[in-house]
Amino acid sequence: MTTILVADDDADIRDLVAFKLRQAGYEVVKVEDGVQALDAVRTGAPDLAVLDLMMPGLSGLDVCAQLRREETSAHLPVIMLTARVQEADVAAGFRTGADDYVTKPFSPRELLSRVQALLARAGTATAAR
Amino acid sequence: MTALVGGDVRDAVAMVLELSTWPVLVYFLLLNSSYLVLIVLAGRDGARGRRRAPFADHEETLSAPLTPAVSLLVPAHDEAAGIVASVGALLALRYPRHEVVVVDDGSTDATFALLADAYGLVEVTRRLPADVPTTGTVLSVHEPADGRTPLVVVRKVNSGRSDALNVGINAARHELVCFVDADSLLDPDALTVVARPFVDDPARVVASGGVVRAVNGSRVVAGRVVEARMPSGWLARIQVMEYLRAFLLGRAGWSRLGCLVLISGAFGLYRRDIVVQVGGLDPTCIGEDLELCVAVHRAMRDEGRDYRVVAVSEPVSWTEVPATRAVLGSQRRRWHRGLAEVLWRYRGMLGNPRYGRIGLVALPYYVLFELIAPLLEVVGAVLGPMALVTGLLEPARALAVILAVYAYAMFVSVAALAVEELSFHRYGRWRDLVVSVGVSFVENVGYRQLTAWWRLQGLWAALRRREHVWGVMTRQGFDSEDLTPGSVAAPASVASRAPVAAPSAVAEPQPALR
Amino acid sequence: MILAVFAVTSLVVLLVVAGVVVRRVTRRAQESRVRRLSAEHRPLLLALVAGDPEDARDAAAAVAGLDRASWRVLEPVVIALLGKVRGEGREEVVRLLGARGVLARARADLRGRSAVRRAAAADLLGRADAAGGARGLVRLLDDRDADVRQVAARALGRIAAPAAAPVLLRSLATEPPRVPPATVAQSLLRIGPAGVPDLLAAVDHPVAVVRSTVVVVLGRLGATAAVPALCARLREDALTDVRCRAAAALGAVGLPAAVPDLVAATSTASPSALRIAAARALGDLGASSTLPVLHALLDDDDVRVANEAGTALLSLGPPPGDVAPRSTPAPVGAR
Repeated sequence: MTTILVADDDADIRDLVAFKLRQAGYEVVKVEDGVQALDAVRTGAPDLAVLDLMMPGLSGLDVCAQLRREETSAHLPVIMLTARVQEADVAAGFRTGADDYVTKPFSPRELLSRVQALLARAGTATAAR
Repeated sequence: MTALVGGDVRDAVAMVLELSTWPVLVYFLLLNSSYLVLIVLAGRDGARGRRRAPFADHEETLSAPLTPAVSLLVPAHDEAAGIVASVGALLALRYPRHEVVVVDDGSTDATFALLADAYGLVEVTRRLPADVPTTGTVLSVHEPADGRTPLVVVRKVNSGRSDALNVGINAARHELVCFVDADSLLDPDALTVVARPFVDDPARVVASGGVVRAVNGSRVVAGRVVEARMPSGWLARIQVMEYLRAFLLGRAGWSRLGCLVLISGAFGLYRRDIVVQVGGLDPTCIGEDLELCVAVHRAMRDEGRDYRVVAVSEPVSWTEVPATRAVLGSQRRRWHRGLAEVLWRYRGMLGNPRYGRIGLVALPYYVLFELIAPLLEVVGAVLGPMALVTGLLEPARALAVILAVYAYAMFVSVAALAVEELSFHRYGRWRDLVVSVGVSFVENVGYRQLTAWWRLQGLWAALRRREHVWGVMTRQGFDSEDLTPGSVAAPASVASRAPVAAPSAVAEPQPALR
Repeated sequence: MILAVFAVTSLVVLLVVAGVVVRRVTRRAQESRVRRLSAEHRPLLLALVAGDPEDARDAAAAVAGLDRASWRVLEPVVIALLGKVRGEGREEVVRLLGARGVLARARADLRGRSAVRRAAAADLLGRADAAGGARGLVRLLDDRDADVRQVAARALGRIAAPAAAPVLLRSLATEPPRVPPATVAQSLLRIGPAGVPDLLAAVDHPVAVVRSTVVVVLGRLGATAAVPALCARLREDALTDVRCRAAAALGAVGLPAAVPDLVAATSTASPSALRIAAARALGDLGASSTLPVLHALLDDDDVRVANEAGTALLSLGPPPGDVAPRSTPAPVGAR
């Protein structure tokens, strides 16, 4: 069962993303902040992580950077939810190692297709490795 | 008791006590009332901010094309323990365009080696413009080899924090400069929040100050404060409340009145051209961040320019406060001495209508209720109880003094707590609330008097213009350093540790002295 | 009497503390109550926004038919959702808000007495992008409250009505500007290429702030049609600040046609700030023909110009000979 981690301090966005992904057949783990996200990755080993960029405390950038530093999560596909097409956020996101981004306000349908695309890519990557 | 004291002496002492009650009474009523006014102003400001928060939209600052770029200046001396995490956290701040300029102030440890390793630094031949005069020789300039990371590391001969920051100002590329401490923790949106005034009012805002809070006891993960908690030691607890009051309430209050004269050096944002205009930070002055702010005020008013210095009231920067009496005492002495020096240097502005509110309200206030305060506080602290015990004053009079000094102060502390709870409620746990209430009591019976004594010593030192003897700085996680007495320019070996502006008794932050 | 005074003081302090505790308790209770009430209907809202078109329509009908009390609890949540999603989900939410009269109320609130209400209404109408909101918002650009003006300008950007561009520019033309330039710039960006004709018309406006904002936005939009006008600003504008922004804009647009003017701006006759901006712009522009010019600037007397040229060269390609990589740090005191 493919598990997806969703980290966002905004309950509405968390629930919306979870709703859409669950409807598409994925299992979803919801967390509220960066620290919980890191814990969830360490204990649960999800297949993909959707991180909100702006969370208080540890931001999505911080979490992504930390994930890339750790051996077990260095290849975890990460989608960043960023505020609009903001060059700085996008650049920063890619610099810390995010694989894709979705701008907020976001389209649940678009997010779903990006998740599916990334998983497909990651799937072939794992096969190749 | 009264029989023990000889007749004439007793009368004389009684007369002295009698005479001093009125000044002490009036002084403390004024002092505490002024704090109350500032707190009320800040509370109203906070309420207004909360009502309008739904459409404040800080996201706009992030994406607006006119958002000015910021150079973060980080002076670093022997910061090997946390420099990489610190720089990483600064680079990861959410902001459209910013760079981090680290000035390695002659570190003797692995500070530079760690940075070079983490970011793949290569030396670049880059001459630094001499916009601001500096004394320490610049040895080399380094940038990451990947060409993308906006980081610059300047290595120089050790010459102190102020001089290091001046070198940083020279090396900065962008129109705003932000002074940051190497060991301060910043919230991810800190830069966005503190730069907002520049975005909203670019023609007038010249400086913007963030709030500094005590991090002791809070939960820190990967360079960010994830949960604010009260620490366990009483000294640290009291300082948490002090900072809360001074920064959140004192600053916001003064800013509302257009009288803000102190921007924390642990997180302050200035226009680079204006800092260059006033000659940067003054290495000979102990209270260098207060000095910079007052210098800016003077320069702007001398020019007759319409300008603003503002404070943002959201918590943005966290720093560790001293947990032992020895270090705290040394810090407070230093701060007060710095205050005295700066006020002396700018005494021409006092009561001078040319300098508007700064000269007529803010600086005189600082002289009366900050500089001289410790003297009156020490007197007031002993006067009431002593009078009551020796019976040399009418009980009612003695009681009035005690009430004005202690009870009113306690009320003000509790009022500040109420405002914090209503407006910001950042400390979530019930346990912390109880501790806060306890602190409000303990603080006014003992702590305040103790800091008054230390500040009095600082004032005395300033008056005698003694060479400052730096105490040994020890803290959890700090290296202990033996700071050599000597010329004022000598504090080269002092790591940039202490928080910039410290709160005084209640509301007014004092200069951070390094 | 002494005791009485002490008692009064303690009582006052205790009252304040009690007030704080009560406030916290009630706040928490209120929050949990709202959460509980909205939790009942939350699945409907989620389906409305993120569900398949059929489910969304069913959910919309259900929410539209809810009783007044339930809707009152849900309304702020629904309004908040407007800012969080786009696409079909957002359309459903806007339809729902229309059906429940929220949008009509907001339009009326634009003339409300309280500034907070006016601003909140303007914000909502901007996010809802419902028809007919623009006129009311334009009027709010002259509101007496600064926050209301700013929110109105931002809302006009969200609606992205091209007709709003001249009005937004006009709000900058006063001293001081009625709306922060950053907000106007952001809204003009959102209006996008449709607003370029109006921007071009204002590029030589007498007020400096208007010129500088227009120049920046044109650069960000990458409006190639604006290059001649931007070059003119670079050459002739009275203010160095506007000239610098014009240089940056030309660098952002990236047309090689701008190179001659930018190179001319790096000459020693120009003010220092302009030379720096022009050097930076040449780097952004990225034309290989500029390499000789940048190389020459490396030896310039003005250190900052030389640094900019160096940075530009670094970003343009392989490092030139005089940027010497040394990966081992020199030990302190070695020099």
